[in-house]
Amino acid sequence: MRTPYLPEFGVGRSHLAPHNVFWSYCAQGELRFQRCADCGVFRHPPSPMCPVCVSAQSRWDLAPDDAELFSYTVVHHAPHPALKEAVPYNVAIVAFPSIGYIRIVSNIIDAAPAELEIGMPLVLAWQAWGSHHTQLPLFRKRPAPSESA
Amino acid sequence: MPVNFTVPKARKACIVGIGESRFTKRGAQAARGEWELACEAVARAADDAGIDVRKLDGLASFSNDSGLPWLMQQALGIERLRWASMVWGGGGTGSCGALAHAAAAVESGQAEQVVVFRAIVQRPGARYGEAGGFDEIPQFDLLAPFGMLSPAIMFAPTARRYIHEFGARPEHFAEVALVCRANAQRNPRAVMHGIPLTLDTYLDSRMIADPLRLYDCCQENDGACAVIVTTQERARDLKGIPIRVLAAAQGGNAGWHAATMGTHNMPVDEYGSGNGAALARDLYARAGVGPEDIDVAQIYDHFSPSVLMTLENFGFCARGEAGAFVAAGNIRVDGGKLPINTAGGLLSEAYIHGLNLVTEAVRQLRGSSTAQVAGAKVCLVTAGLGSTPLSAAVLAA
Repeated sequence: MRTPYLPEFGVGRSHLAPHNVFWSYCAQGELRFQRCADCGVFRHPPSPMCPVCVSAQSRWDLAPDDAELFSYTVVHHAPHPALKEAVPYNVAIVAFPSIGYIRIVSNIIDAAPAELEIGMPLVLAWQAWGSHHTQLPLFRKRPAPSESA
Repeated sequence: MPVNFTVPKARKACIVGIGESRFTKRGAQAARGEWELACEAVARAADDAGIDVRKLDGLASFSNDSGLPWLMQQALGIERLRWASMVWGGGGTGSCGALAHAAAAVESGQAEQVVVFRAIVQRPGARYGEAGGFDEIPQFDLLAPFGMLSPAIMFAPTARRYIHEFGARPEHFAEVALVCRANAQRNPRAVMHGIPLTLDTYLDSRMIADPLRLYDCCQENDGACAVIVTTQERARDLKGIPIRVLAAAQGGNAGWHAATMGTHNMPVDEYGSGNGAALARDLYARAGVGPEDIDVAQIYDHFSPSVLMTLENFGFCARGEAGAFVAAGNIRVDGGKLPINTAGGLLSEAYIHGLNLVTEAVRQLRGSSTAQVAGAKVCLVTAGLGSTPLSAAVLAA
């Protein structure tokens, strides 16, 4: 078991019901985004109605594999005592261009701060989040085709 | 577009009094507490206006201020509380929204003398600059597990992307911090009065959340501000010169919802722009002025890059050009086209969630600022960037 990117610390659960669906899929190792069952537009964060066509019908589709680093920060000042040993750590905004640049907040693992570059292709890497009985969708740099062959 | 609704001139809103407590470093006034600081600021504002504080009949605040209406009524002896309003939203997004609510109350006849107030005492464990006090953000479960726990971390990726798209340089962010600090040197009330800042010190300062350095981040302070709003008709009976509220508005762009306080899913081509463009259009239309009419501006500066974004939103320069705009000296009091944050702003005067930007706007229009802009007649005030709705106001002498 690899060391978690960040230690677990007290974070409340959301009181927004659609968020629980997102996290329950993560528990199964599936990154799924809510998608309007009528007009087909993806949306995130989850919400009760489609902001495009106002339909209340939705389904949850698997995220495509075109994740890229949209923006990021490298945190040097620990915002919580539990993170004092973790700095510097990155917080990433990861985008999926093929579904309207849907973005999630995440971390890029196995990357030094200097390796982070807006636009870099990423692949999903799950990390356990035991206290919440689910997993966190993290990312790492997508290997170049020659490396993965 | 806003509804074209004409308020009779006699009922138009104006500011007739301002008051402040002492501003200090975070924690220094903890023994006094927010309630006492709020009352002190309100009492001073009433004195400034020449109004018996017991005759105030409306209360407006924002950011879940702890000075509940009945607490304020109890302490101030308010005889007939007819109206009270709380603007949703954390941080300082609602400073001018609370002013807008107060203006709406007096212009519609629901109240005659409304005080807008905000008091902050940062308790241990509930600092704005660290985790604590953010658990109530509904989307926090999608941010916190990844260490996105403080406003600086939430805001930093938009500044990073702004640099990526437009080539903004550290010196551009520094100019905002240095201008605020220079203005604070003229203002004895400023917490950073007597503590000058140089470009070298700025550049050498530690990173908080890259690209935000220490001096890009506003202070954490204890203090309170209050502003009294009434009608032009009532103002004629008072001693001072009323400052007109040409417009005060709330708003935000389509699709921004939680913005940087959420998962950053604002429209992709507007990312890093600050969410103020639609608000600016509505505000200027209602005020009947444009950016060319603004003599001085008080721009919410929780982080220095947010000032660049706001300058673009409110039409002082095109998107991506604010770095060059500030580098040319345009936001300086001495010789700038658009002097900003003349009391020092949140970066160097105090972090009272932006209500101290409203009090400074009033001083500029009265001609009594410690960094007075000669002949200032029209002042823009903006509130914090963050979750929709943001807010802003145009005030005039």
